[in-house]
Amino acid sequence: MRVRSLAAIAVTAGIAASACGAPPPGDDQRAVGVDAPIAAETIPSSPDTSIEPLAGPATLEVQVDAAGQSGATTPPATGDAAADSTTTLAPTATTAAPTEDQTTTSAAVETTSAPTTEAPATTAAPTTTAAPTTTAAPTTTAAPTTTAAPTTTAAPTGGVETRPIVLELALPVFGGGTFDPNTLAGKPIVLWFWGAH
Amino acid sequence: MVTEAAAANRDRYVMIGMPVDSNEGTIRDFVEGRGVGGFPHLMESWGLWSQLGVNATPTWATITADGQVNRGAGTMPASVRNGDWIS
Repeated sequence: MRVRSLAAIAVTAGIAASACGAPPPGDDQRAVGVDAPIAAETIPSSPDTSIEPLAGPATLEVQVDAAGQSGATTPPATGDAAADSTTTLAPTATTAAPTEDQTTTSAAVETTSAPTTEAPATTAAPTTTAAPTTTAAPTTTAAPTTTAAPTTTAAPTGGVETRPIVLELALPVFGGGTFDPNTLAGKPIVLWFWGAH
Repeated sequence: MVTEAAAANRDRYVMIGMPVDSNEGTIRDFVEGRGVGGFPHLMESWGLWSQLGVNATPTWATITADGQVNRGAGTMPASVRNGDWIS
């Protein structure tokens, strides 16, 4: 079994655990697409080799036989140095994988936290909406409604109505002056409601 | 007819005009144009329209000395103009 091959598997599969030396065989099988289990014991858990930057894509094609033996591997043809580094790259790339995963995870967490953070913000909105509540001004507008109090007394619609409702009003009259309702006391009245149109 | 009836029955009842529009110019045009300036026209109704359930013009309403109110939509009938409703 070649370390290079497993490294490539790890890189291709993006499995971090395989680089640490304890991967479930089934995972490797799924990742590589082989039936045979792949042993991970050959992957150095603590590589003593120096890591060099990848000269090319860290993707290798691996063929594994039924016995779990890795077959020919196709390194990212970048010269001998690249071939050597490929073996070393395994941990690097593998390590990078979890890093990416973590990054992705953290991103997700951030994304999750984002709405959480927004939640209060949104909640703050209602607080701001409290302003309209402060707009109790309309409530003050209830004053006119209070003025409508006479309306309560004015229940009449063809029925009996007390005269004071009309007589209590001091009304301006067309042509100037004010109409004094008291002059109507005890007198029958005809109201003529008209419109110019 | 309203003006004449109001003048003829001045001792029996008081006629009051209730314009739907409070615009003085509009009232003036109407009053002078129709010749109905022989009785007061209130510039403000103070809710009498709604209190009496008036929602169209013309509408008339009579209020007796003891506070009984009657109203009707349309042209003021002769019985109202002549004060036949006064007991």
